[in-house]
Amino acid sequence: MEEKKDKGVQTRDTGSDEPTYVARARRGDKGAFGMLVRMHQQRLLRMVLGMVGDVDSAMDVVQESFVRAYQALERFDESQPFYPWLSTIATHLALNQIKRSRRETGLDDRMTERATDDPDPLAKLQAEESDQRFLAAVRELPDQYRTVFVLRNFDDLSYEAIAARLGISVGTVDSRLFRARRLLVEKLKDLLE
Amino acid sequence: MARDCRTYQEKLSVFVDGRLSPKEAAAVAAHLADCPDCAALVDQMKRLNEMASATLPEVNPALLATLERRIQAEVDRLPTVDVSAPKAKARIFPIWYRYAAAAASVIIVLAIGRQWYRESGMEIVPSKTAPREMQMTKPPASGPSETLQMKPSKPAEAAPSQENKAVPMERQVQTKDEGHPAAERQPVSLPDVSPSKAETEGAAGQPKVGIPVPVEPKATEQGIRDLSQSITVSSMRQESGVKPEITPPITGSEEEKAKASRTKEAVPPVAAPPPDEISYDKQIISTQDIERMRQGADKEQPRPDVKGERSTAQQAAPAGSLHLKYVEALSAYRALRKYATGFQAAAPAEGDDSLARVEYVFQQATARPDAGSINDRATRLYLMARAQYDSYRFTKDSQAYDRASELRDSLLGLLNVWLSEGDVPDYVQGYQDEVEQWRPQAIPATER
Repeated sequence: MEEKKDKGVQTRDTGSDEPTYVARARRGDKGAFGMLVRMHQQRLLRMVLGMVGDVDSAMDVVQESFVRAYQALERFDESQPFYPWLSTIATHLALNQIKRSRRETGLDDRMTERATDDPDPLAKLQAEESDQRFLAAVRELPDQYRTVFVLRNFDDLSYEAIAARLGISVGTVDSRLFRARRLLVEKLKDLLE
Repeated sequence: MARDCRTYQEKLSVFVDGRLSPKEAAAVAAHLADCPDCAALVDQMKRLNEMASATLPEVNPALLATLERRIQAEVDRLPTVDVSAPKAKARIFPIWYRYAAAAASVIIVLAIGRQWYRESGMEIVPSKTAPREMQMTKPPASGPSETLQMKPSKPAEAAPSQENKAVPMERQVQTKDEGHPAAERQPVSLPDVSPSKAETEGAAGQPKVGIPVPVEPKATEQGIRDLSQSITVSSMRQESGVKPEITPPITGSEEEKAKASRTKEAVPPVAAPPPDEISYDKQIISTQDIERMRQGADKEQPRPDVKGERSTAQQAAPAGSLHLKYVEALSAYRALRKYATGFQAAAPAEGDDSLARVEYVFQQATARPDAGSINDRATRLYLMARAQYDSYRFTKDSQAYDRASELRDSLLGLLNVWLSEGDVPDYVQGYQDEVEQWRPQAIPATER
């Protein structure tokens, strides 16, 4: 039923060494924390970018999220996976960022680089253009729809996890996600046909 | 749109994610077989999910490397976390002490407002008929009346309810025409709180003059004035390393009050006002002046960054908590700032040094950045940052802007340290969220 339920929350990008790194970081090993950064920053950046919509803000939020996480490591429960905790911090920071900044800056080419083996430069360009259009459409969604969509589709959270993180009901997640998707379908109709 | 479509459309997204029960999924599938529009929408939503999965498969490695370096540099600057090390005691000061410091912050804020009033040469004189309404500002929601929560909750029996029987402003303000001999109006003067004087008196072991709160000096409230003085003394003593103490408000019989007042001889007495009238400055203003001020203040009022600052977390703070005191201090500050701004806008005076006043308070607050508990420092930093920020907004002074940014960053750093402590009250996160949302850097460059 809920095929994504555990997929993104616990396993992606996290190796079996994560608990070791967390334990070492909690005991003063900043290098171990650096390994956690390397492990999770890409996924986190992707998720935050979807929420805040511009690269500079996304990088600021991700950086701040790791700093906050480090400062709060003493309170972190080692028995729990690291990423959901980190992602929760990032979500709150990203929501704050959304509230205070309504800048209409576009995504830039610094962010994306299609990892494709396709040697055809035209195909690569088209794919990147599609990405840009898709991300622009996501960015233009109303905040509450965009947040739910990003958490579901970029961060692979379950409906229940989204509801818990945002303090809303699962039914609200349902309806916001539906509206977000319908708006995106309308904007990207030509790409989706 | 067919009725069936409306029934099923809300479920299509959930259907795409495979979250419907088998029974519901079968019903939706049956509908899709008969409805090409809904079937097309489902297909498009599936494609959308695929596109989301395919988009940004990799982030530019150079960008990630930059990000990693930035994070590592930030983390390297932080104190090393070590859960195995013995923890220092998180709180040095008892809780009552924090309350006292927070209350002192409120008083400082009120003093700032009074200074601004004085700079603009304005005065508000309470009416005989409505003494309780003369609390400097009118707005019941955010005005200084909120600061009166610091007082004992004994209402003035003779006074009408503030909420229910607001007296028009015209009745509250004595005009020059009505005449009030200066000899009858005994102003409560603002003491000199310059550092040199404070230090000199502190060294001599004498209590210092507190910053008077502009409350009506009725018998039931006399003790509050003393309390405010005592709190200020305590705050100063704290900074000089002397164990602070708070003198409770004087209550009880006249004999007890007299006895208590004898023990407080060292505190310079505040001039006793006439029984039913007190003025807070040496001049009075006309109703036209008030109207002009209000108009001026209203022009400055739409400030979205201020508007939304009472967060849910703040509103949920338990009554009487330190957090609530903090909110009260902010409310008082904002109301005073608003009216002071109105005064300046209505009657700009030559040599107006309001900004210098703000800077003075800023220097006071930052001269001893480590004094007091972490909550004291956070409260102080917040208020000072706010003052600088507002100064910038009204004066467009770029230095004020820069100082506001610096103070905000300092405050965020302090809150981070606080949050990293064990057993941190929940409202600290609320502080952080609030400060996060207030960001001078967000001001468009064109406005700077």
